[in-house]
Amino acid sequence: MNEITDEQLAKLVQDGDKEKFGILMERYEQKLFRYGRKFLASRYNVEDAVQEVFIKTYESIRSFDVSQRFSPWIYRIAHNTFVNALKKNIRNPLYLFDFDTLVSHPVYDDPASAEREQREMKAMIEKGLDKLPSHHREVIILYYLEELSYKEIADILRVPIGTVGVRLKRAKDALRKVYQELGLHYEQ
Amino acid sequence: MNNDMNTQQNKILDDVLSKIRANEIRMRPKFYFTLKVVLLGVVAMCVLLTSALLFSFLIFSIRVSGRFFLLGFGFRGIEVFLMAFPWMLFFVDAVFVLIFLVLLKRFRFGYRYPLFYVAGGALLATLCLAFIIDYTPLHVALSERAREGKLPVVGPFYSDAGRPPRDRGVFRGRVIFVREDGFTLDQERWNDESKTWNVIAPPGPDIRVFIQSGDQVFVAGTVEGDVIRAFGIKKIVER
Repeated sequence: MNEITDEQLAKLVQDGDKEKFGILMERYEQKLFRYGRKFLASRYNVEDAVQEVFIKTYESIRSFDVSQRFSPWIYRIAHNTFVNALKKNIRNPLYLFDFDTLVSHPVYDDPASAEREQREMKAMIEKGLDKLPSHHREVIILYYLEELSYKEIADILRVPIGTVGVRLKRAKDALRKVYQELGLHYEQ
Repeated sequence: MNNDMNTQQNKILDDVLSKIRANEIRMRPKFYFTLKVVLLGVVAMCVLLTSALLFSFLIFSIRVSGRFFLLGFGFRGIEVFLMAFPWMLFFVDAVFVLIFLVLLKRFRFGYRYPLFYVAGGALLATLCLAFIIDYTPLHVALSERAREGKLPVVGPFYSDAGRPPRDRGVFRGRVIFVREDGFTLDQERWNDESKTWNVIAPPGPDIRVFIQSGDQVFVAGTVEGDVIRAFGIKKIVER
């Protein structure tokens, strides 16, 4: 069963094999719990939120295009669910309009330095993540912890790919400031 | 703690699966999502069409009321044009364009590209469609029906659209008599109003070269009693 892809499993569920959805849930439960715990910053009932994600995923499974990747699709559902949870529970409104979506931003791809940076960031992220605003926190989680690509993150957040890069840079700058305030060392 | 977390997580998976098996949670049929997309597309097209119709009506009203010719009469004409511009209609149309933009963002092509480009595309689509509609006889036909009192709901808008903004010093009428320094204007009747004006032409060539008795004209100027001191005169040529 490990050889079967998420997309193939989704197709089987669409065709009526409900039990295969259990396998999909097993594959994504840890990821979604991690994403939910980090994004909701441990203030909310992550278990309820993740359960809601799985319920919405099952209800909407027939809208999934099996020629696309399943991962960004379920993360999109998780993003919407967690955002709604945040909206219900905090006073300040969420980041409603992003001026970075107004114009085009170039996307630079350097795989070697990206991989090195990924390793370094993963080690450091845990310490300051809950101090960041939600829109910065989310893009850091999706890129460094969930290891999604710019394109996948763009589809989850429904923004242009260039905006993901800009938002990530801003999030790292914000994280650097958090480390300085906490007296921690931040490596570039 | 890890064991507690794993137990909680397993409980969630078991809860969801048992609800699925008991049919408490069901997959929505594919046609539900197809219908959603189609409806969204239809609504978006309706909003685009409404926006284009409003904008084409704006163009039509500016043209038939004489406001458009004000742009050819220097800063004073531009000033009167801006003061007489149907701003309320313009802002209502802008709201429709914004709604269209919000609907476009629900589609992949709407969020894949920067907002600036998507907004530009939305605006271009609205303007192109508006100019196409303006080129058709739609508004002229509806305006005629409004004059005959046969156009419900939007009739008053068409009746008002063709009326020159008299309060801004813009008039439309027929030339009765032409003199060297101006002419006598029989103002076009609205709601049984009628008035005859003595129009003093702006300094320049002899007005009799350009205007003859019987011509339909727009006049822009300041009113002093029964006299209009014109800064702009435009002969109306029927399309």
